[in-house]
Amino acid sequence: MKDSFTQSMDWLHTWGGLLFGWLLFVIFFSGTLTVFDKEITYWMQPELHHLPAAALNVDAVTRQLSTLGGNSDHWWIELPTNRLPVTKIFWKRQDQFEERLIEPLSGKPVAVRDTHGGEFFYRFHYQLHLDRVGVWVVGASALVMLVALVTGLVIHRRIFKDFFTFRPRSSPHRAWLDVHNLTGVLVLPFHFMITFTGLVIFGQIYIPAGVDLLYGGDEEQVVADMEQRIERSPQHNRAPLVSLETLERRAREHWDGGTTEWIEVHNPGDRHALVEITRRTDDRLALVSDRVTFDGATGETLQVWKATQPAFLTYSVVIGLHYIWFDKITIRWLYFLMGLAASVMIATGLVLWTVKRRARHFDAATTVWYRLVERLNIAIVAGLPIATAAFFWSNRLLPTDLAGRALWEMRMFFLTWGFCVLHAFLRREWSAAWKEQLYGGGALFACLPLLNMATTQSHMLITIPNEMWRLAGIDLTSLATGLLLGWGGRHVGRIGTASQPASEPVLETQQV
Amino acid sequence: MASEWISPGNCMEPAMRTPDRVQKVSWRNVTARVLAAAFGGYGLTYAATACLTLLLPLSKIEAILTASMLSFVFYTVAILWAFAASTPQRAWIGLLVPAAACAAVAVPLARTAGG
Repeated sequence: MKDSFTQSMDWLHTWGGLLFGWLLFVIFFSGTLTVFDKEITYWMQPELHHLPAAALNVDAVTRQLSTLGGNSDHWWIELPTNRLPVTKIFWKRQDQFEERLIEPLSGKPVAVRDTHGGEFFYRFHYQLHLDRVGVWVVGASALVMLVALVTGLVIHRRIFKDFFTFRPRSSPHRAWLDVHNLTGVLVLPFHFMITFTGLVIFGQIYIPAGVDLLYGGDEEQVVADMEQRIERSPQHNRAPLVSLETLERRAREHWDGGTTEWIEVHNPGDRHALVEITRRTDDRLALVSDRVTFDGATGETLQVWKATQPAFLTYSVVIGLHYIWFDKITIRWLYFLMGLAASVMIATGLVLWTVKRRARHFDAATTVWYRLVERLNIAIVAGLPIATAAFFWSNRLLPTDLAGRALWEMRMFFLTWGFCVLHAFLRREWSAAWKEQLYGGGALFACLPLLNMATTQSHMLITIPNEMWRLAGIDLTSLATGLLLGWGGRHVGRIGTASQPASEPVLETQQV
Repeated sequence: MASEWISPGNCMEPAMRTPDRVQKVSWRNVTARVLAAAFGGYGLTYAATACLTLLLPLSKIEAILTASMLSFVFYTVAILWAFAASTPQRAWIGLLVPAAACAAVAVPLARTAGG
């Protein structure tokens, strides 16, 4: 491509990073939020906040399921956790799914406002709400991210020197470059790990060579062979279901201290009923669920399934590192901060591209292209936090009984983002557009705890004294985000214009 | 953008910079390499993954998962090659020849595997 290998890699880093940077910022930003998806869901359902993190009464839950989903062919019970202290029940009749949230102890249904909660950011993160197309777009972006990381390493042979260099005052371009390098180098192992493990999750979809050759492209058969579940069709003779409470306790005997995540019943009330009890993965790296399967009519143990195959376990650890379902709050915060660092690295990379080129003059076509990049940077980097804040605000402000409420929260997110895009493109002064959007996002996030105070009984004056840290954490993080965006708004004007073209030599000590 | 001049050296020390000599990159050159990286790279990755899946002396699932985890390493290297090669022609050759070699190994194996 260029005269030297390093220059070729530099070119690839610059252009690959720019063209996929906007998508990557969206993916990393929403992924960072997804680290706390369950906590966000909990925060967005204030009706649950009075529930104690109490033990579960499986029998009470089963009675509720018999009443609601009496003659269905499938039941699921999702057990409560420390992160989300509510029980979810699902049942399926033909192809009709029903779902309710119920109190873990009494088995009574809880009425909660309709919201997608943290699930919204989760789906946004891995498929941009575009289903399979989105999965491919995210995959292509992740691959470019991997290439950008490797090329970034190649062009940084002075990696340690760069790491200890921070020159906020020397020139605008150097300051941006130093932040970009600092967030890149400091968190480099995480960037590599999270990008690679993210690709592996959908590896069979992206590169289905093995599935095509050994299974004739039959993805379902691959999953069936991996999971080795017992299948039984209904006998259509009635037989009472064995107590699920007993079966759940018996399943736990196989797991040396592990707890239950799911109870699944196939053909409840049938002579051929099956009960599958699935182990929670909150105490292990490998994202693989051990299972015990019982005969639902006799209570006989039919299968004790544990993952033993080395490659399968390795794969489970690799994707487990991405999902972090191992429930350690310290690690969760570290992931959040490192995800934030990755988002900052991508954002500064995007800004750097414009700062370095702003002082130069080109023909009209190039100027139009530079303006487009500048405006897109504002719309994505400053606009996405505003849209996120709007999503939280609408959760508290929309009427609780509004039809299609969850959809309206999503619409508010995308409508707000649309306004940010318009504002970024229509505002004459680019630096004013930056400032206004960063201040706007900052104000929305900083005031979110106040809005919480005005609309719920689970605001910081209550949650902090009562040590309800999972709720208080969201308000405090929101406050910190507001301050960070405000700080960005204050400084963005000063660092906007490059006082010197990038190609001029910069005063710094020469390496020998 | 069509007449974009790109100065080399985003982050290289000044001694390595060549401020007076900027290189022009032709659109045809860039397009050929992007296509090589995306499609040539995909072909090579698919063929190499297929080859590895069939050669590994493991059970079906184990072989699929092992090869699949390595596939993204192949793809990354293929993309780097597409832009590091001195000419677009060499970029394509460097991807197609190994892909063909992998396919030559994989096709007979796939027949015996009954795929």
